[in-house]
Amino acid sequence: MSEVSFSAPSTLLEAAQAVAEDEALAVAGGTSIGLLLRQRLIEPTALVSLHRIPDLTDIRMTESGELELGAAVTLAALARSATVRETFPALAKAAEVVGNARVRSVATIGGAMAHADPRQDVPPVLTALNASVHTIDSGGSNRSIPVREFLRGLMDTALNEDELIASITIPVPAGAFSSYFRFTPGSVEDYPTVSVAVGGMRSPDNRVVGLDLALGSVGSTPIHVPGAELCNGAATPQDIHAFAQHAASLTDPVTDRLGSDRYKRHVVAVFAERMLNDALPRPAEVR
Amino acid sequence: MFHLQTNVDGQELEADVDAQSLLLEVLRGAGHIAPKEGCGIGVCGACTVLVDDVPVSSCIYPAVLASDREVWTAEGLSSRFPDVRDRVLQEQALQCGACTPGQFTAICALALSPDKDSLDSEEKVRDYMSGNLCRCTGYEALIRAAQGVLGHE
Repeated sequence: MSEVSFSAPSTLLEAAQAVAEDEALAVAGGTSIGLLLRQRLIEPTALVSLHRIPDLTDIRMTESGELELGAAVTLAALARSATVRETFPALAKAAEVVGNARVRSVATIGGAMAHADPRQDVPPVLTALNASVHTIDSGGSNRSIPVREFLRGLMDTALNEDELIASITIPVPAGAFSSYFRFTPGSVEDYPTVSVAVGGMRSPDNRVVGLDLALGSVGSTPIHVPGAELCNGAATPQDIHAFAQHAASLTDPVTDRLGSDRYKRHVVAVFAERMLNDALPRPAEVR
Repeated sequence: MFHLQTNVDGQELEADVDAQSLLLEVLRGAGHIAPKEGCGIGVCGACTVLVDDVPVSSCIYPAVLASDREVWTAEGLSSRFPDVRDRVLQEQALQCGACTPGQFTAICALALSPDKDSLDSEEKVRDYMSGNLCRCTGYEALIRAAQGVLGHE
C-alpha cells in the first residue's frame, strides 16, 4: 500500500498550502479524481478535501454585476439555482444533463474546470460566456484567468501546482442570452458527441450586439468562435450558414465510437446553424 | 496508508486505506455487501450509497473522502426508511436483485433530495432514476415505487 495523507482544511489558503506538497491533489466531489484513480492515471500522495471550506458553495451576484460561483458549487446546485436559470439558462441546462444524479449531486464546477476533460458540458458554456477563473496560491496571492486561456489542452490548465480554484465569475451584460445543445445519439448519461454553446447580448431594439460560440467535444479544449460579424442585424441566413461552416472547420475532432471526425464536423455545422438561427432575430423582428 | 474513520449504517467503521482505495471495496471488505460492483465506472448505479445523504457511486468514490462522514447503504436504509422499503416491496420492484440495493438507495436519495419538489412528473422521475440500470429491464415497478414515495399516485 502506498502512503497517502488526507486532510480537510477549513480555509482556502490552508488548502492551497496543502496542495503545494508533492503529488497532493485537491478534491471536492471526487468524481473526476475517483475516475482518474480507478484508471491509474494519478497516484496522489495526499488528498486535500475542500468540503469543510465555507462560502465555496455560494452562488451570488456581485456588486459589479457578475454572477459568482464558488468552486465547490455542485452541478445539481447550478441546475437548481433560480439565479443561474434566469441569468444563464444555458449554464443550468449544461449542468442538468451531465452524467446521472449521483454525478451531479457531488461533481463541482471547479472540479470540471480543473479536470479539463474536453468532453464535459459546462466548460463550453463558460467559454462562450467569457467567464473567468479566480485562484489562490499557497502564498495567498490571487489570479484571475479568462476561461478561454485557463483551459490549455487535454487535461491541461493554467493552474499552478500550488494553486486552487476559488471561484468562477461570469459577466452579466444587459440583454444577456445563452443557449446550449448537446448531441448524444446514445444513452442520456453519455458524453456529448458534440456540443454547442451560444452566449451573447441583445440591445433594447432586439439587435444582437454581442455573440460568441463555443464548441465542445471537438478539440482538446472548447473551441471559441467569436461571432461579431453576425451582430447588429446584418446577418442573412446565407451568412449564418457560411459562419456555421466556418466554425465547424475550426474544430479538430477525433474519430471514436461516437462518430468519425468528418461526421462530428458536420454535426457541429448543423447544430451551430440551427442555434444561430434561433438566437438571431430575422430582419423583420428588429424593431 | 491512511486510517479511515467513518460511520456506516449508524455503526463506526475503521479501516486502513490508501489513496487508490475506493469506498465500494472498503465497504464490501468490511462486510457491508449491499452495494455491488456493476460497471465500475459510475454509470450503472449498482454501487449507489449515500454519503452525508447525497447519492454517490461508491465504485469511483475515493474512500478517504468518507472520513468523518455518514455513509448509508441499502441495508441500513431499509431500517431508516421502512416506508420506502415497504413501497418497493409492495410494487414488487425487483427481479434478479443485482441492481436492487442501488435502486432502493436511489429512491431513498430521491426522497431526501432538495430537487424532490421539482420532480413533479413521471418523466422527471424517470430522468432522475435513469442513472440506475436494471439488466432485467424491470423499470415500470421501480418507477411506480419512486412515484409512490414522492406521493404521486
